[in-house]
Amino acid sequence: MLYSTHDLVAIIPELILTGFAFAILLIDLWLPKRAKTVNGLLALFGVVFSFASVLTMYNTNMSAFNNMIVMDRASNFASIVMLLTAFVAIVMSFDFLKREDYNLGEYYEVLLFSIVAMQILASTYSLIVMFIAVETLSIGMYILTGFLRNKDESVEGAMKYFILGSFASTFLVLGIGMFYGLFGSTDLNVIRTGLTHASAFYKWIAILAFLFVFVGFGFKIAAFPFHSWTPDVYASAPTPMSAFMSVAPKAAAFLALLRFVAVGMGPIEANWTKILWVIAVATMTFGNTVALWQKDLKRLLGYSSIAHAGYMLVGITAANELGYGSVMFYLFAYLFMNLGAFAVAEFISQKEDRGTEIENLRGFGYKYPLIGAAMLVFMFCLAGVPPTAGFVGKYYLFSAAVKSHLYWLAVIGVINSAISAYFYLNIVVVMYMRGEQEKEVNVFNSVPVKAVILLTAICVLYIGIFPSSFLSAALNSIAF
Amino acid sequence: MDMNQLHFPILSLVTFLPLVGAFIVALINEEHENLIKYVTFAFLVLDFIVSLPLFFYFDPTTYHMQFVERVPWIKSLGFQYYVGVDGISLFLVLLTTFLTPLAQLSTWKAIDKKVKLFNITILLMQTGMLGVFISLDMFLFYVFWEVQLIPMYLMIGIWGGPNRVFATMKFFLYTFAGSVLMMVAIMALYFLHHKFTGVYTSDMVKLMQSPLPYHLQLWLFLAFFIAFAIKVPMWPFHTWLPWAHVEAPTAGSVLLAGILLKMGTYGFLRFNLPMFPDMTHAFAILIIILAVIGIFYGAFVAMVQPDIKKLVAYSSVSHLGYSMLGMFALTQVGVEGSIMQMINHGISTGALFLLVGIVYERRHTRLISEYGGLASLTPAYAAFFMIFTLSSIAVPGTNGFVGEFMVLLGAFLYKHIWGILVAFGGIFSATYMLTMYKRVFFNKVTNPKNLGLPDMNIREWLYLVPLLVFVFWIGIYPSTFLSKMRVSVEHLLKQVNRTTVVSSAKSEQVSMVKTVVVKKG
Repeated sequence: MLYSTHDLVAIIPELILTGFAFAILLIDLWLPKRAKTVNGLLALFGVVFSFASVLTMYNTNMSAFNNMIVMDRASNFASIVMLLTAFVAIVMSFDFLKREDYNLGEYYEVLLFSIVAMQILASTYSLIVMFIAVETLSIGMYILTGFLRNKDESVEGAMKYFILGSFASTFLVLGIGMFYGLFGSTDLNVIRTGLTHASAFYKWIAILAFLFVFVGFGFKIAAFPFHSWTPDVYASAPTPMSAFMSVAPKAAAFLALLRFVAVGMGPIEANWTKILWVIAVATMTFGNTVALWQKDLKRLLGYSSIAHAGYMLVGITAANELGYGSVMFYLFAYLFMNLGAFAVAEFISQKEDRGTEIENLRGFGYKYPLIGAAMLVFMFCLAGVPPTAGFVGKYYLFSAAVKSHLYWLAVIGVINSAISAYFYLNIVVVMYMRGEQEKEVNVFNSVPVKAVILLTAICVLYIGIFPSSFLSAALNSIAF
Repeated sequence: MDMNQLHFPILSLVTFLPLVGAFIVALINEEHENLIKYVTFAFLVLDFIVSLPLFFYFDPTTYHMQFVERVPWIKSLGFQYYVGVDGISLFLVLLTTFLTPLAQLSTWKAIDKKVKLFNITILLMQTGMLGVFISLDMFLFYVFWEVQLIPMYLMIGIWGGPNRVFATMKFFLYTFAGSVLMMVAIMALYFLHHKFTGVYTSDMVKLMQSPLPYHLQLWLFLAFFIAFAIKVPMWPFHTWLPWAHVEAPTAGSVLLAGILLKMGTYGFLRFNLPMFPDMTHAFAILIIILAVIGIFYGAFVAMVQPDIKKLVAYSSVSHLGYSMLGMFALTQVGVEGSIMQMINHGISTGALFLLVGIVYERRHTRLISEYGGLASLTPAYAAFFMIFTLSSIAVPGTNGFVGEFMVLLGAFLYKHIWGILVAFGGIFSATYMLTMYKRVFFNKVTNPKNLGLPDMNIREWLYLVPLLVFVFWIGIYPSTFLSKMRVSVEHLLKQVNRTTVVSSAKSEQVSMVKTVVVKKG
């Protein structure tokens, strides 16, 4: 027998989600229109059960399907990040879909399938499996971006995402093909062994192949110069999906990238660290500089997410365990701050998912004291000011760079932090220091959204003040 | 968990009591403005009272940290919640607990919108400020250092004057940019210290004991220097200060001048001097030159200010120049004078900002030309203003004299020329303060709007009299304070006067680093 039940154990979390996705597909057929929220609840249950299975198997270390799939602490940690993100995104979607009158089962079902793909992406050492996972999750993301299909911007964003994404995938598959040609395998461990003994000529071809593969990953994590889809897609996708996309696929892609560079590319570390140094600097600086001129909150968060991808690349460039662990911790911290900020964007949004201009936040801090205070926390957190999770995360990322003697990288990173403080604080200025709103602005008065905002704000502060156990978990999750 | 001589976490209580207060105030309905003011004031006074045992139980015979508390915090990197005070930080803690309730008292009328948020902000700021002075773990120090930026940013931005947004952004970004560089230096210090001693630690006391070799000190020293120099602020990093002061509400200015600026000078004493002794000696002359430029520049610019508050703001640049001069003269009397100058500046400049606030509250202008002849209208106010003016220009018998005299003596002992040169600075500070005083208080009342100006009320007496007491206490009997800081300063200078020498340039191991204690000449 090719596969045993043992193999299936390694994909229990994925199987649970797949099961729920199919269940939604079926049950949706019989649900009357007013009861469509059941789909959402089912999706939520799926996420919770999958989460529970990940937690129970957290310390498992196994490989399955002829080493195509692994389950280790890193994949489980990334799964936790993705499932928490999905949970919050689903909660944010309930009232949203009702308001937009798009309360369809497909939304949740596509979402669940894409999480499955992300989990697979995070738990493999095989480049070909990574490619399949990237493609599957991307298709889900394209659909969800254009889900409000009568809204032109949404469809445009989806098309742009799709075309650029397909383009990036071709590079990815080309790079994988080159690795296969060089070493006769797409397994990263085999590639590593091959690279160790490779001639200088082979190494140069491997660097070229590395660049091609990186195009694919760089596109997913929105690294400069493969970022151009990000602001458009974030601004035009349904807000809960922008929130989801800004964290979950990145968590998967970052872990895959970590495995790729730390394991597969280990022998040519000296080369790729130089390449990533340049890309990290360009990504941070580009994201933060362009964000200075943004007028729309969702678009600003789009550019800010480019900048944050740059910060995380700093941790990878450091190429030490502290750096890799910090990337994991940063993803965990980033989850709460970014989802919180997007939830605020949803809170101020109008029908058709419009009205997220920063100007609409004028006087917001006084009109909604608690939610305003939460937004203030998110902004300081994104800027990396203590006592928030964002500060601890950045501290560790840059620490890792300093540990590897990349002092200039750390200095450029913190200068970027200072630049970013300007546009994050500008939002605080609008909320608290520019007087009251003149025109009447209706907010999206959804209880789940408000709950998300307040809870994520509390998490951000809690992780910022008592980061010890989360940090240990993140640092211990890395064992390659 | 380590415990201290009181067997009680007194420093945590002092630091976090205001935070508790902030939570309680947050629960009060914002319509009960008076209740909010009273509760806030009560918490701040209570905080002052619980901080008093720090003074009475302080052991002046040891340089070791006292009232120490130590709890593991972030285990993976070994960061601790490690707090304690010595003779250097003790008075800054007490100055903070002393000054904040007075500043809060001054806002009862002046702040008439968002009263609840304001009082929460002031309580949070208190926690942040105290945290900076008690932290002995550099990660913890950095956390508090940045945290206190947030309430000050809000205070200037929400309750400030017409240009508040520009002023507060400039304040925040300028300080933040400086401090993130310090963050990189803190990380580098952590890893380099491990490289040379084999121990990962962020314990500041340990880091002070084993400074890095000569060639590694330069960049770290500069990174800390920039962060602290912006905060002090030293010339030419001072440009944010006049903006912040002019736009901030009175209480904001008092706390900014009285306490926040001291974080910069305190940072020099805690990091630059003991941790980078070689660079301290190498850069002393440069910093002294900047300090002296600051003394004169601040005084000259203050002379031409039409706005009383701006004048006082520039006088801060000048006064803190004295503090920096005394510190980098690296003599016992100079460093003690520098610390005294920090305290004095908190008291007299704090009082001057409060006084400016009093008249601004009544007339909504701070232009010197709008006033004149106030001495005949508001005699008590004029008397208070006179005393604090004299204290600011360091007239014998007031606190200002003690600090400035010690600084001058210290500078004189270091090199005669600096003592002599800077003594002239006193003339200029007398010039701008007394000219301003003359134009505001003497001559006839020229502006009819001032005719009905009421004199000080009880609340205003209440927050100025305590400051007055200290003007004379320090001025007449400074030993109360100096005796407590002597041993700590001696120890600090011992650390500064030890220079590291790498005996073999080939190897970078700790065993190769010798510590040579140079006896004081």
